Parts: sequence; structure tokens; C-alpha cells
Amino acid sequence: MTTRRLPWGVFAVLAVLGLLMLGPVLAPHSPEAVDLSQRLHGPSAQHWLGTDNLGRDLLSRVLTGAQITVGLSLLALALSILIGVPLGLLSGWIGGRFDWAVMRVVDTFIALPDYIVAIILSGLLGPGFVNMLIAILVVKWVGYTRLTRSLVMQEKHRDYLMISTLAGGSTGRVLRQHMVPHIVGPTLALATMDIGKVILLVASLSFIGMGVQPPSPEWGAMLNDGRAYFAQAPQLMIIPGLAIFVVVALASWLGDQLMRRHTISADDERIAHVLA
Amino acid sequence: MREARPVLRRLIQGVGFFFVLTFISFLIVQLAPGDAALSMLKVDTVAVTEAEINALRDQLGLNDPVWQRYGRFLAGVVHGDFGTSVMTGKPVMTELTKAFPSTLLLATVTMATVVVLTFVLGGVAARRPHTLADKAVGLFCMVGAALPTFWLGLLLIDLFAVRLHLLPSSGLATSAGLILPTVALAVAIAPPYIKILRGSLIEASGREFVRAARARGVHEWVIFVKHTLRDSLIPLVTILGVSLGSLLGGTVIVEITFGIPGVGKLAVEALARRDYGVVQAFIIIVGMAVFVINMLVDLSYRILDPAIALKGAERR
Amino acid sequence: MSLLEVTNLTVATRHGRELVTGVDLAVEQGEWFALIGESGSGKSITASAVTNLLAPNLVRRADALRFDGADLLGLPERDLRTIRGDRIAYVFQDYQSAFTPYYTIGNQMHEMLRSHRSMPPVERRQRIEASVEAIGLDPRLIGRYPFEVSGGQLQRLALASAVLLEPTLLIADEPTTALDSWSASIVLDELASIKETTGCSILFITHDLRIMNRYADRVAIMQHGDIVERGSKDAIVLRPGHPYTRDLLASIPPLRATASRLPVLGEPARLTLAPRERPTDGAAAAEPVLRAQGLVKVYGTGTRAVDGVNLTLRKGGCLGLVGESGSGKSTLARCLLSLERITGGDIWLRDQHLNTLGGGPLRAARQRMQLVLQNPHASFNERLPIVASLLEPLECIGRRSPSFLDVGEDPRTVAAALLDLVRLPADYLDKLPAQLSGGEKQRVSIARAISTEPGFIVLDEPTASLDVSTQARVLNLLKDLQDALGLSYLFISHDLSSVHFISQHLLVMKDGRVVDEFDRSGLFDATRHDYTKQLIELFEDLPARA
Repeated sequence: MTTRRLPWGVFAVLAVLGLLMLGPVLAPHSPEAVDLSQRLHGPSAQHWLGTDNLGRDLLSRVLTGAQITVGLSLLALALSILIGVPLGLLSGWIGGRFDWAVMRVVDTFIALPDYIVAIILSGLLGPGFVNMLIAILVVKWVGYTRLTRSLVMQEKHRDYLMISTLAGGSTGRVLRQHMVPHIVGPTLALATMDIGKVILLVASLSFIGMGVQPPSPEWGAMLNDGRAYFAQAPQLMIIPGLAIFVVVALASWLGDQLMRRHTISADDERIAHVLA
Repeated sequence: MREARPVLRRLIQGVGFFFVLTFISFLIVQLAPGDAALSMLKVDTVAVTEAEINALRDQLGLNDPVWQRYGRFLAGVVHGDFGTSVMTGKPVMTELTKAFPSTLLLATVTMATVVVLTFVLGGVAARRPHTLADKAVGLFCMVGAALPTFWLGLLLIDLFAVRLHLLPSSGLATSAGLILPTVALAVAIAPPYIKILRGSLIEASGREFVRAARARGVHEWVIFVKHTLRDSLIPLVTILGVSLGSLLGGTVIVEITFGIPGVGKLAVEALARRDYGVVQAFIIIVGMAVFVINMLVDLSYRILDPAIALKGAERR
Repeated sequence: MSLLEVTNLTVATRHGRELVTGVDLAVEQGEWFALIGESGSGKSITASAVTNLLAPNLVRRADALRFDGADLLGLPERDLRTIRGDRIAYVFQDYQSAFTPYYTIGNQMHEMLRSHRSMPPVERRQRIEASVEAIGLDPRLIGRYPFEVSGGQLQRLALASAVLLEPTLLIADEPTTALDSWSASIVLDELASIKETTGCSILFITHDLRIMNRYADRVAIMQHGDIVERGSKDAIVLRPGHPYTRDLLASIPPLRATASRLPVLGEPARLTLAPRERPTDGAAAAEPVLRAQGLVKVYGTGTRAVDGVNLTLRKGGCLGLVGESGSGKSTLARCLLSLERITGGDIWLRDQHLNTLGGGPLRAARQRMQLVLQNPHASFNERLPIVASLLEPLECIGRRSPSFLDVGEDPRTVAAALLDLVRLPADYLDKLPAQLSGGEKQRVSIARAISTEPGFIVLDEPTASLDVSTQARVLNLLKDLQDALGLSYLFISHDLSSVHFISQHLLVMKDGRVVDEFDRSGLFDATRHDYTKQLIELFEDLPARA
């Protein structure tokens, strides 16, 4: 129901995510300023969260990394929606052979496990921001096509469209007035749910050395870096991991709320493959 | 006949998928940046000449037309021949067969753990919704789904291996080595299953036919096992098929985190070294495995829901 | 002592909202007791509360709940279980869920017997088969899954399983509401014969006063969670005391009377529009707006959904189409509106040969037709406010206001005036469909249909999903609008009395064919088709009030 008010927590989560985008502005130091005299220090007044093996300020790196990890995820999702939704809309509405062809492509992409595809793609394309974006896009667009298509298929045969057909409304009008309102909510809910998934994917790829590379302060890459210094400076392991955990948990919670508003349940077959 | 047709159709689909898969894996490697010949020669840090590279390209058949190379590749795949690994110089198949048992062991034990977790926690949560127990399960799901698998793995290693010396930190030399990877992986994979079983159990218990059985005076436990639980299995099986990707993906991450010499670790190392034979074999084997499991899931619908078997209706 | 005694029963949600408020009820040995009420009156909840079959979010309270001398209130769940199915059996409205879809019907009947008696499987089998045969069905049906048998058969099998253990009380909760009227009458006759042979009592929950009139011994009328009137059936029908009871009785369009409005309480006809010239009954002189000749619709599977139908709808008139579900009447409607391609025959809209049109001319022709559908919830995009749905047809044809309104061109003013015509307040404009009741949505549907001044309006079961009293008011409204605006209707329904009430000319449809056709006044002619006569019997009038 669109009239029901959003819980305040939703705004709080959005505020936190927005704030993270400002990470670099808030960082007290340069994330890449090496100071070998300050290696592996614990938290201090100057370095609130301590320093890493090259004496770089951990707080600044985590804050800057937010823009990479979260920013990359949001950008990848936005592009996935931009590709997936119109394709699903057309596929569902036009139907016939066009739909058949689109669905065969979709089926093939769905049959390939997303993590594996992303790992192989980023491995083949080589590390880097853009290549990672491509890898995520390839595994994510398909979910939005499928969701949109099934929403359209579900609405397409509803009685009220008969009234529209009789009234002689143009296809553009019907899509705009009747289909789009049914697509926006569920798509946004799913995308929010997906933020956490994509962040985990980005971090995992970087952690195994397939994603964004050091010295870039991507959270997964930082964890890979810090792994060797676990005993001396546990904060190098704990802080970036905690950052991932908190952001993912917040995004999933927000997604959960939105899904509930749009009465999509997680076992909905339309989206099961996206969430599992 | 009615029973055989969907199996047959699936098999035909399987053959089609095999061609798509082999072609993709062939193509990806053709289009990928980096040159196998170059990277083979680069192993020695001596400078190489253009002529040397070309000679090796000829020798590897890299200068032949695309379709010829695909045909050769396909013929090899059908015979289980993926060429030689650049990393080790041994046949790719040998490398894979060596790595396969570890991955299979990890995946099976994890899945068994996930199933137990799902039925215990999902059942507990659905029994009394909105109570403390339900909320605790909900919290576990939220935390489990948000924890990066590799991070949880590292923390577990630090705690149980480095600090407490209770369990080995890496490898599968002993069966105790399986405990930490399984925990890290199961915690990440179980939450969606638990949530879905909880939801579908609650939904099933509100179904009209459950009330009808109750009105006939059927014992509560019979209603639960025979009617409610049965109804809840279908959504669970649906997600089982589609979540296979996260199990396989998670296995790769966990193998690397815990240094388990499995297929995932092999594939990632091969990618880093541009060892294309291994990568191609990995793509095809994983793809076909996923296809076969999805086929089994699809067919199991027919056992779970007689309406599908009898009407020939498809779940979509 | 009564068989079932309920004293001061209250059922409330866990949040404290009371759905049933202090109901007293007594069912005697061997009687047919009818509990009458509209949706939301609490009648089904009352029935479920007897053996505590309530949804987990509901709690019941009562001063006494006695069955055959035993106190049901204090009984623990495990003892209640032994009573359910054995001493008190249920039949529900939703026959498709009477059995779990994953097991055969026989499996679930065995399961029921096992739950109550220990007897060898052979004996169980004999008993089940005997029970199924007694209900007039082939015992081999029990080997089937629920989705393999038809609705009527399934409900009869549910009935067979309910009487397996010869219960003393059978609670039937709207058991025939979801069935077509033919299957319904079979189930009702079975119920009556079960009562006859076993001497059990029946607590029958229904909204249907005709069923009550035909079968019940005693009656209680429920409204808003409370019983407002009770008594013997004759007393209720002939001398209703409570205004609500009278309103319910007045809501049924009588076949034998010729009133132009149903005498229900509520708004009087107050249309501000000047009545137009309108042809009287049977005015064959009026020009036809819609004509169909030899209409055939064959589906890909070979089913002849519509099989050679001829019809003529005249300007300002109402053509009624009666038929069971599956008779092809809705398909016919969609064909006439050219929403579906016809297989054979011709359709003329005025002098336009409709089925030869395509593209632009077809679109223009469609804009001269309108449609009101059965399901008021599906007739609206639930994400758009009422004003957007209401004005959609006007916007599509590029007009600002219908000519019969004189309120200027401001869209909201026009929309408000349209709502006023169907007697809804203007503040409904900004509501979402979910905030309206079924009857209110149906009114908006009607306003939307008349907004473009169409050549004719197809009303496809417009009242089927409404409560009787709401249905009566919608029928009155349709009549008032027709008088005021000179509208032409094609009114489609399974309910002979509604169709008869509103139409000048009637067609009776069965299996895709028109089997009978007559003017309103000719309903009781001896020349009527046998099928029509059967329908007349089903929709027979209640005895006239004293």
C-alpha cells in the first residue's frame, strides 16, 4: 500500500548509506599517504583506528573505500536495472517470439552461478574498477529482466486492462500508466535487497585478488592485505570486515522492509534466484 | 510415456546447453586479453622474439580458423581432454580429478549441515512466530547473510586455530580441518533456506486444507508432517535449485580462505596464471553440474506435487 | 436440552477487535438450523468457534458452549480433536481445499477413520466405499487426487467424508456458494437426505435466503457479529421483525412481481438529470445498437464456446443473458466487444460491420462500447487513485466531459460529478481502490462506463460478487441511470431473478447456444424451454410477506 508510512529506520539507513558516499570528504588523512614510521600502530588520537603495514590511516582508508565498494555496487545495480527492466517490460508485453528469444538468453544466464561467472569474468578481464562493473552487470541484469517480465505477464491479463483496451489507450499510455507503477516498487525493493549481495560479491572478488587491486582501499582488498598482519594489528582485519557486515546488514534490512511493503516474499519464484 | 517425455526434453535441453557452454568457454578464452603463448614463454624471464611467439602459436594451433579450433576443442572435451595445464605441465583432467574430492566433500558436508540447520531453526521459528525464539532465528539469519564468508572464515581461523589451537587453520588433512570451512560456508548459505521454510510453514499451516484435516479430527502431528510440512517443501526445493550458485561460489571463497586444494582454488589460480585449459574445464564441469542438479530439482517437483505429474503442468 | 448450546459467544482478534459479539445459539436434535448473514457478519467465525477451528489470531470466549451435554469450552485440544469429524463434522465453502492436493481422496478418508477408530483396512475401505455410494458417486473416485474431480463431485466427496462416522451435528459453512446452481442443488438434496436417514442436526451457514426458505426449520439472522433476529423459518419469512431482515428479504428481485425498483432501504432515486425519452417494454420499434448473427467462437482446443448466437440490443433497452458458468456468456461478451476474435458470424455496431474492422477504425468503434466486470477488485489498477481510473476512458477518447454533465471541463469537477451520479462522495477521488468496498468499486466502474456516453454497456455479472443487499442497490442504480440517460445494457448473469428484474428481453444460454429467448412478461409461459423451467424453480420467489 503506497499510503502506509515508511518506518523511520528506512530513512536512517538511507542516511547512513548516503553519508558513506561522502566518505572521502570525511576522511581525516589521505588514504594513500604512506608513513613507514607509523606502521601497524594501534588506535591513537591521531589515527583513530590505527594504521596499516605501510603506516596509512585505517579510518581514512575505510571511509574512502566505502565509495569504492558501495559506490561500485550501486552503480552496477543501476546499470543492471537500466538494462534489465526495459528488456523485461518489452519481453513480457510483446510476448511471442521476441519473448521466447529473450527468455532463452535469460535462462542461459540464470543457469550459470553468479559468483562463478563473476570470478571467471573478472579473472579473464583482469582486475580493475570497470572490469568489475562489467562482471557484476553480466550476472545481475538477468534478475531484473525476469522480475519485470513476470510482473508484466501477471498484470497483462488483469481485467482493468480490458477497460483500457476498450477505451483505446495507446500502448505507450498503458505501459506508462498501468505497468510502470507495478514495476517500480518491486524493482526498487529487489535492488535494495541486492545491494548487500553485490557488496559481498565485490568484496569477495577483491579478497581473492580478482577485483579492485591494492593500493585501492576497497574493503575486500584491504582484508586481503591485512590478513598477514592479523596477529600484530587485528584492527586491519576487524574494521574493514565490520564495515562490510554493517553496510550489508543495513541494506538487507532496508530491502526486507521494502519487500514486505510490496508483499514479495523471498520464496517468490520470480526472485528466488536473485536472493539465494 | 507421460513420465518419460519431460526427462527426454530435459536431456535434449542438456545437449543444447552443453554446446552453448562449450562455445562460451571456448569463446571467452579466445577473446580474453593476454596470450597463452606469450605467457608460456614468459615463464622464463628471458626476452622472447616475435618469431618464437609465432612458432609456438602455430604449434598450439592458435593461428587456425576459429571453427577449426572450436571443433578440435569440442572433440577434446567429449573425450575428457582439456589439454595440458600451463601451471604444472600435467593434463588438466589429472589436476581436476585431484582437486575434485576436496570440493565434493566440502560441498556435501556443508549442504547436510544446511539442511539440518534449516529444518531445526526454520521449524523452531515457525512453531511460534513472533516469539523470542523466532526473533533469535531471525537475527541469526540476518547476521549470517550479512557476514562476508571469507571474513568469518578468517575470524574463525584466528580464534580456533591461532589463539585456541583447537582446530587446524588450513587444508583437509584431518577431518577436523573440515569443521571451520563448513561452519563459515553453512552460516552464509543457510539463512535464505531458514527464512523460506519458516515462511512457507506458517503459510501452509494457515491453508484451508489444513483446517479441513483438523475438522476431520486428524491428529496434530499427522497434520504437521503429512500436510503442512509436505506443502512447505516445494518452495524449499525451488530455492535449492537456484541457490546452487551461491554454494559453488561460496566454496571457491572458502577454499581460498582455508587453503583447501579444491577445484575452486585451482580455478582461481589458473585464472591468475592464464591457464586456459583449466579455466575452460572448470566452466564446463561447473555448468553441467548445475544443469544436472537443476534437472533433478525439476523432476523432484513431479514427486512432490502430483498435480504437476498428472496434468503435465510446468512450474515456472 | 438442545444438542448444541452456545451462550454469549464472543470472538475477538488478539488486538481486541470483536468480530462476534455475544451470540446465543441453540440447535435442536434433528433440525436444520440456518444461520443467515452477509460477508463480515461473523457467521462463519461463529461456526468455526464451536470446535475451536479458529485462525490462530482469533480468541473465543463464551459463558457456555455445550454439545450433547458435554462442555466444549473447557475441553483440552486433544479431546476436542476426538469430537471433530466424529461427533461434529464440517463441510466448508472452499471445496478445492476440502482435501490436501498431495494425496488421493481415499488416502485422506482412511486417515480420518484411522484418527478415530481402530479397524482393519478392509473394513475401512468398505465403509468409505459405502459412504461414497450412498452419496450417489462412483466409489472409484476415491482413488483420484482432488484436482482430478469436478467441483460438484469434490464437494459431494467432502460431504461423504464428513458423514463417514455418522456425526450428530453437521456444520455446513456456505457449502454451495462456490458451486454452479445445478451442482449446488444436488449437494443440498444430499444434505437433506443425510439428515433424513441419519437424523443428524444441520447447522447451515449461508447468505442465500432461497436455500433457507427451502430447507431450514429454524433461522437466525446475523449482522455485525450479532444475531438480530431469530425464529421459525415461516415466522422470519412471513413476519420479519427486524429492519435488517426486511431489507434482506426485499433485496431479492421477485420473478412474479413487476416493481421497477427494489424496495430496499437507502438512497432514493435522486438523479439531477432530466429523464430522457425511453422506449417502453418490448418496444421493438427502437433502433438496434448492436446486432449479432450466427456468432461462433471456437478455441484452439476445439471447444465451441459460442455456437451460433443471434442477438439484437435496442437503443435504450436492456437485453438479459442468463447462463451458468461455462455456458459461454462471458466469451460472447468479449466477442461482442471485439476483445476477442470471432471464428464465424457477423457483428454490427449500429451500421458498422464490426468484425471486418481493424486498426484505427476498430479502436474508434471500441471506444463506443463499455464494460463493467464481475470482479470489482480486478477492475481497477490498485496503484492508481480512483480519479485516475475513473477518467481514463474520457482521456483516451480525448474528451473533457460527457454531454449529460453540465459542470465545466475541470477534470476533478467532472470526476466528482460522475461519482455523484453513482452516489459516492467526492472525497473518494483520491482514495485507492483498496480503500473502497466491493459495492463502492462497482459503482465507480459504472460511473466510468457511462462517462464516454457509449452506444451500449456490457454488464458482465456486475453484482455476482456483491452481498444481496448491496446487489439490490446496484441494480436500482443501474435502472435509475438507464432511465435518466437512455443507456443500452447487455446484462449478463447466472442469476435469473436479477436478469429478469432489469431486462426487457431475455436470452438463456447453455453450452454456447441460446436455448430460449423471450420477453420479460413471457417468463412463465408454458412454451419455455425445460432448462429455463429448471432455472425458474431454482430462483423461485420467497412466499410473499404478510
